[in-house]
Amino acid sequence: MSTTGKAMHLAALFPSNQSAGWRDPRSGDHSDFATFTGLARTAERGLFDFFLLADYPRLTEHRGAVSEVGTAGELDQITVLSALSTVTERIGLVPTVNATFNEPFDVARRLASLDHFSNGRSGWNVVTTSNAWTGENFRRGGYLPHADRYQRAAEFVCAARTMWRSRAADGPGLFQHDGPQFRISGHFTVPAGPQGCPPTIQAGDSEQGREFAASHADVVYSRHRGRAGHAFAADIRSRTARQGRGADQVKIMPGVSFALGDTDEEARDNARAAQELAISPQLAICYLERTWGRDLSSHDPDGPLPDTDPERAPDPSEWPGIAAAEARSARAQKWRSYAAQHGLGIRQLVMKLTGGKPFVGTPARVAQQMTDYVRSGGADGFVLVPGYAPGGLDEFVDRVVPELQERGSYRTAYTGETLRDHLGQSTQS
Amino acid sequence: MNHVFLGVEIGEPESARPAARPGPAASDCARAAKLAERGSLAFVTLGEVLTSRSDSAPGRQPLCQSRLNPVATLAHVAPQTTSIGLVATATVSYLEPFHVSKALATLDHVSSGRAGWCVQVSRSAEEAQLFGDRSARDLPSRYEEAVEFVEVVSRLWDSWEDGAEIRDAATGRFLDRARIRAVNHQGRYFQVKGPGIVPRPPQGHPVTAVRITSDEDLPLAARADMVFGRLERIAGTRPRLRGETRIIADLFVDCRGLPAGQWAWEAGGAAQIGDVRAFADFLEARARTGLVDGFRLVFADVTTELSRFVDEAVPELRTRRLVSPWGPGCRSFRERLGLPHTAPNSLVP
Repeated sequence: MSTTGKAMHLAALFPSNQSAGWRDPRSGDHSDFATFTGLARTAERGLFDFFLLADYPRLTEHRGAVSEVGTAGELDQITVLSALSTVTERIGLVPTVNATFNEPFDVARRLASLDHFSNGRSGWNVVTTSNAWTGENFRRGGYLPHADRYQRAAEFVCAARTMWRSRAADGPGLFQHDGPQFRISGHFTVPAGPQGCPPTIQAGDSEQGREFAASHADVVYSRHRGRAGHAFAADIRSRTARQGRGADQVKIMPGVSFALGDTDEEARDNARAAQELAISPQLAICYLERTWGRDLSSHDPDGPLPDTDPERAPDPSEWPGIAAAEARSARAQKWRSYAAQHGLGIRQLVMKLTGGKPFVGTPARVAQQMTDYVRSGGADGFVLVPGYAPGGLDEFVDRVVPELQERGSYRTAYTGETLRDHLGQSTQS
Repeated sequence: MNHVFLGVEIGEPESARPAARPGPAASDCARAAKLAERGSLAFVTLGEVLTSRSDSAPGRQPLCQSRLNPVATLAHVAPQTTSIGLVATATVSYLEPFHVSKALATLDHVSSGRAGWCVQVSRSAEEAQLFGDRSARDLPSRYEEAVEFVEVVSRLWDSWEDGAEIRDAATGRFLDRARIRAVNHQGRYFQVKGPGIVPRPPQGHPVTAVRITSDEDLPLAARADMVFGRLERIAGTRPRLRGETRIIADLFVDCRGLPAGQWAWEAGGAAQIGDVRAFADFLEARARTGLVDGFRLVFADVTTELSRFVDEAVPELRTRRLVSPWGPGCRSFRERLGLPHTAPNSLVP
């Protein structure tokens, strides 16, 4: 599908991804509002469609205790975006919202409030959790069967839209939603904003997740790049068509990281340096421990993988939710042979496993790769994941954005004011 | 000490708003908060009513309301202000303590230690319908639930010690897990394991406020840092509260239509009119009784009347040293209220 001349969409994810990238001395405190302001404003300077906040609703645990090695903790997404609405003017503001442990009325009201403060720049990234572990912090615990999580999410979105649409020009109307998950009714009094319903972002990859995206999402935040990304995009577009929605109503935006340099070699060095920050020696050992099911702290993180097999039956209180012995054994075997083949130590292997497919090169090369990928139909744009905040997008915005603009593959100014405008969608009433 | 704590409600009374006109816009709230700050007020409050209609029983008319979510609205206001306390009402009856704890901790972070919340219990079947709550629980159990809710919220704030985030690059430790604790709450209404997910707020605990309209509110009020209420209702409550709790009387002001220089106010059941000196005399006299520690101004039309208050009444109050601006050493809203600048951590042995 030729998309020559089509402008790509860019977004920014605030990095909070359980990596050891906090060791970068430029990394700011992520309970400091200034860290959010800095990154959001840079993304806005770069004319990005939206600024996205992830949600990790419970601290990661390792061996039965809170994990110490990766970034942990977060601010409430809608609350901090409500504050950011004051210090930004155009960029979209998108919280991740968990449909499992929230009530539609509360979320719809908070989002509509954000939409009001920001003059129509809100959106929401709808995610689902079904696990009882997360549920231990909520009234109903881990009540939702895994298979039902998308049903609940779909109904959640439907209920929220029913509430937003209940508002007439002269004030609140009456809404009612009757379904297996929710039976609610009343008046929805938060005034409507200029974009109608906030756009929906969705990130699931399963069969159910893809169907959900095709039916409900305005943006699909995917994790596929390269050929897998093309296949994913084609799949989503065919599902979308089956749902009777136009291809341009759903923007496919994979998450990507990047590393820049004055030369391609310098960029590769920077990519490696960023990975070395992200994967600390301690984090690499923890990563392996989750497969071996045993303490590996005596191993040299830069040395070879353990030559022993993973523990067959590790104590479940220390290793809750660990995979079956066969799976772990097969994985260990695969890693050992790969590491041996390529001469990789523990840390280098983990860097390889977690590195993904970043765009690496000079600003011109990265801009060309991004442009080519979008024009070949692999995606409609990208959600950029900087290695740190607040400054992690500075170089991209300063050096890559102009290259994109020069190629005619990116906007040179915001032409609209709402998030729907930036996404190129009509107001959805 | 003659000093009084002055605050202002920046929502609007339901009665004041013509039906067709929408509720206070966020920009109105921001403008009011900035004005209040300029007038050396210690805090703003923002009430909430979840539906467009309230139950009709007398005395239950909500004081003021925002059609916008109050925590989100005050988070929007926070970067536009630097010193004023921000007290958001939260109706706790259908929400998760985990979410509310997280949102308030965040308000405290983005405002650098100026967050507060007014705990509200839902009394309305109509509100229950918004959440699909068909339990038809009675009011006493709603109040009991609210007391437990506040307890859980506080413990979640305490689940992170100050300085749990150590960022020790040498050892690769972002967190010190010894400074993070599970909450392990097993109660009648909630089971919450914890720990929370937000680093400990600057104040430890955002200021907790309760509005007293009846004796049913007293168990909640006994755990509060601040109570609001009609003067005649709360003037006698000090013996039933903690020693440090700030008692703040609602002061209703409606100067619409009055000639310049004239003030009309009501507190303690008696409406009064006078010039600005009489107004200041009244405040000073009430404060001197020691029965109240301050006042929350409730204007019939905050948009026009607060401005007049700041221009005309505040200079008089400043002259009498009844109010003073946020001092350079003041580190948080708690400290502004004369409390220790952070709350102690109940989970630290």
